[in-house]
Amino acid sequence: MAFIEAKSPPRESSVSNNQEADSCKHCDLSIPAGRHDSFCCTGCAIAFEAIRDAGLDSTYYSLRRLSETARGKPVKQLKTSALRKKHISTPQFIEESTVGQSNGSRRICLGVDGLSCAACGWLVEQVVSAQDGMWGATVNLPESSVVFDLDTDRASLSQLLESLESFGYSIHARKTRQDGASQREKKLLIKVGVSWALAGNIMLLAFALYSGLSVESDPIYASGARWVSFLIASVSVAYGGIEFFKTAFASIRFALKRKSLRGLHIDTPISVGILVGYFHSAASAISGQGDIWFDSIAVLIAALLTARWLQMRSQRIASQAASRLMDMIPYEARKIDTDGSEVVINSEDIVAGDTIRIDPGEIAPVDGVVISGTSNVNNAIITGESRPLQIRSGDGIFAGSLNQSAPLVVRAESKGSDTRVGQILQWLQESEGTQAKVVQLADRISGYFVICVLFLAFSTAVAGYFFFPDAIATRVVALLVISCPCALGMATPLAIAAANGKAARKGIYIRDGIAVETLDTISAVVFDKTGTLTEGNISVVDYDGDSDAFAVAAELERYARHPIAFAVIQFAENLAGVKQKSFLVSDVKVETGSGITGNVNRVAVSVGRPAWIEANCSLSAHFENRINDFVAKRLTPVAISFDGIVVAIAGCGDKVRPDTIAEIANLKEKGIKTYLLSGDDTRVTAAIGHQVGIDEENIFGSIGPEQKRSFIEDLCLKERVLMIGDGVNDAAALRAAHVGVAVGNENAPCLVASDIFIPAELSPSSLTLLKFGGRVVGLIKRNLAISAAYNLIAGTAAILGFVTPLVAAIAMPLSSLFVVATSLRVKPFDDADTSSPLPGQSS
Amino acid sequence: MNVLFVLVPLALCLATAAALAFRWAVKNGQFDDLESPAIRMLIDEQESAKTKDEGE
Repeated sequence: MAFIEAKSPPRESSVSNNQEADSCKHCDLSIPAGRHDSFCCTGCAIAFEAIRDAGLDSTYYSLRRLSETARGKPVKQLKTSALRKKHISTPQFIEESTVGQSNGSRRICLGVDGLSCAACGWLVEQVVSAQDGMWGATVNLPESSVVFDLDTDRASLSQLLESLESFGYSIHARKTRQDGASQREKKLLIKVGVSWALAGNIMLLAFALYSGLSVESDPIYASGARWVSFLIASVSVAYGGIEFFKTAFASIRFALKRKSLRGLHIDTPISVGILVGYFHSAASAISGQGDIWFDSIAVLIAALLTARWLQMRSQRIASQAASRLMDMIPYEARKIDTDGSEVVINSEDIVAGDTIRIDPGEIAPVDGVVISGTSNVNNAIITGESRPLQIRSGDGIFAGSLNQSAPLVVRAESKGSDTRVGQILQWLQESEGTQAKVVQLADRISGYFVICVLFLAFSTAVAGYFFFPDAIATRVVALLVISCPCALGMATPLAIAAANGKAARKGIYIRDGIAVETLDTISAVVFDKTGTLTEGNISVVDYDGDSDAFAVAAELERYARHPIAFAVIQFAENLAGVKQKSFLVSDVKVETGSGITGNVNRVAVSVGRPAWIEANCSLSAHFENRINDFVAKRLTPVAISFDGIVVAIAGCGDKVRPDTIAEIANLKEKGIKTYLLSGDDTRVTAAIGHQVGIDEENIFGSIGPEQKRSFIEDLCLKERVLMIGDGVNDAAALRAAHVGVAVGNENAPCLVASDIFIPAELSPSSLTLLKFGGRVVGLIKRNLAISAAYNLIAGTAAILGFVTPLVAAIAMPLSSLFVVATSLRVKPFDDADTSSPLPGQSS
Repeated sequence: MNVLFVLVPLALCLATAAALAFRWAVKNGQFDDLESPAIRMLIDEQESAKTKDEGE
């Protein structure tokens, strides 16, 4: 609608963070002279309108800002090495990674890094198609992949690699193949489509029969309709129903072997329902007497297959996120041979005992032990801890951790799925099991419902034989038509889907329906420390002394690659009233693990650990006391000295998020227990825990991933647990909790393991989530009550003869519509609850 | 009403044709990526970019 009707410039933006009038509201580029609106081109104007009309503007712009404001993280090197270029051109690679097409060309699918939006996708496609010997490029944005055909004689993949690199994209072979699951999913989708086609046609015929076409009045047409229905239904039962019969049969055999009813799968009552309905209707069609209900059976099959397909699809999408994490482990490594020379090899060729070198800025490809070198590594992916760990010779290093300061020589120990990261991922993928329990619930309800109704219909027929022989047919048909399993089975999933949609607009992404129901029953909330209660970055929390000194210190710190350095620089930039001077920096010397010295404007400046600074500089008693304060508060102290005298000190740590204290207090008021679990040092955790108000005995520090998981598992036996966290080390625990909430940035296993994802910027409180759950559950209960009441009343009326089939045919869709309407109008949030940092947000 | 004898089989044939077309589409991967095509249609062709009318 926005495309055709946008005749006037778009109205004032409700979301934009650029205050100047000459930046495009959508893309922030400058607006060319001659345009009279706030956009640089029609494209941006249209895009802005479209996004806003869909109600997505707040989420869209905040998500975009997420990536823009991420700071303090070293840039990931997108440079592709000579090794990869060589590997990608070998005939062996082409053989392995491509599929032959009928016309002799080969089709290849490659993963692409650096795609950030549709424009990137278009660009990659253009670059590929411009290459000699390649054509038909199609980018799949959600999967970050590109598929194209190539002529192996003319095409040069290494040249393509270089071209794309110059634009900032890198390509790699897909490490994980998803063919197996996709095939099954595709077959199921075909069944879904065909089943609905069959069901639709049967319903058309059934409509005629319900409208009064009967065997007595029009024997030919009526019989025709019945027989054709029979024919179509046979196809539907054989083709679609077989999916249920297979599992039902297997589960019956299993139950017989185990001699227990618990082995019976939900598909069993469904299959019984289908078969009973089918054979009874078949008998009716053949004998020409009695009613048929092929339409109900066909619709049931189609609807259940659809639900099953949706379930399979969402599982696949979730696991793709996890496999993308393994893609992050670097492709190649620098191996040091016994003679001391370095050779670049494929990561997969690393053997335990090999010596490899990891430079600053690179990610460790394997688990190993440091042989030489001292550096800081960021283990956030494993432990969730934002504070970098200093490691030296003899310490262990994990695959996936980021080496920050200095080169390391490491002896490889385990790689691939044997690494810590690999094992955690495997654990996650194993426990994938049951998802979308709500769909199972709907299945079960529908299945039992059908059997129930059939039984009632049968009983009515039997009773009718004695009491109302003339009206048997009418009443039974009325009963079958008016009773609607759709409303009963649909009430829950629909309410949840609608609520989830509304939540997504507010930026809360809920993956699983059952999570919403569980939110209502939560009795305990477990918090992770780093990134959840705290902001997740090292920053200057407290300082003392001359604030101007920080500007000077920042100039020097720019030469250091250390998170504390980043913190100082950030702090200096944020300090109001810091005079801007030009700085002349010389003689910089970095002392790893201690600090940095140099001359700034001919003043000898040192920034670093107080103990190290103290060796050459004088430290006043006042500062010393303050430093002890900082240490007591578990902040890392940093001292700045000019010409041998300490002029300022800073305490660095992870700042607590502002709303947390109020949130914990509110939770306690509601009688919900709060816990704090963290992989970080015990004393630091305790300090933060006290600060936010969590009880002493519920605070646990220095906990590893498995311990977190077992703690949560134990807690789940006593309470209904909501867990909030963000690092990979939380992933297993998130899965164990009744509801897992992942907060923050692109952490793939966390997303897979959690039920709810919230981008860090928005951070609505756990209270909002609990209220959300409560409202949705309330709606579901109302829906179920209405459906149940309807079915009871309508069914009774039909049995007693108050309803004709025609009335039934109208009442049934009306009841469904009513349930749908009430579900869509759900209001799970108060507007005040989810205030985001964006101005002027509307619901 | 005799026409029903023609129409019903015809309808069934149409349904079969539709089912076969659907089967082809799924196997051909038409349903694999449902998000990119929607964005793709917003992208301008190179030739018409210069002649595109600005300022509606």
